[in-house]
Amino acid sequence: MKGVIFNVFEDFVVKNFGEDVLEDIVEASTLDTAEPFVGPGTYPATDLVALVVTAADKLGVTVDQALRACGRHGFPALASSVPTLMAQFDDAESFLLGLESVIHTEVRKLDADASPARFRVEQVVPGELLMHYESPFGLFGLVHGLLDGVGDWFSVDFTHEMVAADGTNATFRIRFGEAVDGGEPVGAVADA
Amino acid sequence: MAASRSAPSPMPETIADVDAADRLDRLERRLARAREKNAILEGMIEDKTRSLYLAQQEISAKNAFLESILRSMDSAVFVANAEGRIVTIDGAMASRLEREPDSYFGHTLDAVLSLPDHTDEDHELTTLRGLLACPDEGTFATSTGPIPVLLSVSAFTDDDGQTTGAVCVATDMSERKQLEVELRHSQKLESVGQLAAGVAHELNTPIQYIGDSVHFLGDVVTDLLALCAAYGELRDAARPHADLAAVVRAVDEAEDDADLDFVRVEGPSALTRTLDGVDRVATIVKAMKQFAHPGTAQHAPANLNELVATTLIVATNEYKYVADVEFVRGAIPEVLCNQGDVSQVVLNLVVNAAHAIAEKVEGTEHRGAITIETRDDPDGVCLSVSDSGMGIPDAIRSRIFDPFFTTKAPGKGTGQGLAISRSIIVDGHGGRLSVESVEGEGATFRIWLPRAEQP
Repeated sequence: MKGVIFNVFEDFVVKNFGEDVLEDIVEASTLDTAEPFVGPGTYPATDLVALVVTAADKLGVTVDQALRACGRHGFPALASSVPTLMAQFDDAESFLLGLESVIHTEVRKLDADASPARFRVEQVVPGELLMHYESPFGLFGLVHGLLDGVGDWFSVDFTHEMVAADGTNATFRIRFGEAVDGGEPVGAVADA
Repeated sequence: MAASRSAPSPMPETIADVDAADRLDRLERRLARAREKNAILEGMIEDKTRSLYLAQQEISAKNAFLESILRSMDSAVFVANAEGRIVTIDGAMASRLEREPDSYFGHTLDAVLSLPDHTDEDHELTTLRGLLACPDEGTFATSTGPIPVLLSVSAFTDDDGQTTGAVCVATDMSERKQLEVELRHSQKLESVGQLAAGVAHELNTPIQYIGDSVHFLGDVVTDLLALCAAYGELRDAARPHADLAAVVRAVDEAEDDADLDFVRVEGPSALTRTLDGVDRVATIVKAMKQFAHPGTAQHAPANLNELVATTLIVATNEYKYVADVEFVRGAIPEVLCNQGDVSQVVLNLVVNAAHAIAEKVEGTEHRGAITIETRDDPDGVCLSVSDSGMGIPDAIRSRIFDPFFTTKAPGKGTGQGLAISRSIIVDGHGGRLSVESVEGEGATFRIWLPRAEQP
């Protein structure tokens, strides 16, 4: 997993709970990685899971809630780091339809051999997308959070729910033109 | 990340000292972590910069390699985008375009190519679909005029299998078209040759009985003239007798009407000339038959002298008005050859010699000379054909065996004779063919063929 995701997590904790809490979480987590996480680096996804589990425990929320909040917080940072790419998209729908090319470009430019999570997005009917998420890590809460962030970024209302999942892969239904789930950073997750 | 922590601070002495020390310790660890991050990022930047440089080098090398391949192609290579518009033009033939290749970018292929008359809109070159469905022949607009081209169009697709453009390769077909014309011409000549062979076969029988009949008529004339002589003596004996005067006078008048004295002198010689003519026709017919049906296509022992003599008869009409032919028959062993092919070579050489002489003596009273000689040689049996024609300019001597190379006027030569001759002798018989020439004085072609039995 790319270091930028770890940095998103770190930034989320620092901004919301302070530097000391991050250090406590890191100290309390059993990590395979010894050195600091840097954005262009690649690290075991298990390290992120370990950090999130520790954070959820310390903050008294579920892991999915922690991931979702982290994803929503991180999306603007991720999007801001690729302004030229983001400028290609006028709205959330076209961005989501082109998501795979964005992710592949950003991940593979640093590591040509990387196997990033796959987001296969199809338009079922106008205003409705199905997003098929394939990843060995199954970070579904993070995906929900990132989708929340997409809505924030493009200032658009849409709902998203996970309609199928098998542990590592999942399908999300995204409907535009309907009210989002309150817009809270950590809200009710509309998982199936 | 615990492994990256820095060394602990000195031991604190009070609670305030403990808090301050702990705070300091945290700050030191953060500082150390920030420095380590910096070092890692600098290392990554260094690695990526190096990788980027090497990748650029590799891309440049591959680019240069691909460009050299495209440049080396004799064809013109067009790449069209999804709208069927030209985005690149490569290949050696691109330099023959009417304008700079770049000036065609953004245009559809009909700016440089045209198709044969067609009505099917799928074949229009103004769309990618039409380009992909276009026929495999078209015309390419060059700065010197349109040339026929073979078109090969391939679609290329993106990762999802969607057609995003096409590569169109246009290959110059001028030479092939010329070859097709020459082939049709050759096939026509072959048909004429087969017809001539058939005619020769049909003439053979009547010529034989014409000859026999002329021989018979010669004997008859001889006998009749002898009979006339006897009748003449009888008439002379009857002349004194008055009662036979009327008969004698009638015979005299009949003899005058028949111009018997003239018949007596010219009749036999006319028959002799007729027999000579019939013999010549019979010889030509026989030669035509041998030339047209030389026997098996396999290599077999053959008498090169007889083969040359037969070919000379067939070629008589080509040289008899411009040159005298001398055939010096050497004492040679049989050669191992395909008689039909070697006859063709000898015919080519003799006809070429006659044409070279005709070019030189045209408009003059002069005649040239063709000398054909056979001899046994250490390298095999050698046949030379020398002429006193125009000779071969040094500038073109290296090209005279190239297919389709000819200096003759259109319709006078196909440019294939010497190319075929060399192929027959060198490739077909393992022999050798050489040429010597002094420009303005003539040329000598020599061929060497293997002996049927090695000495």
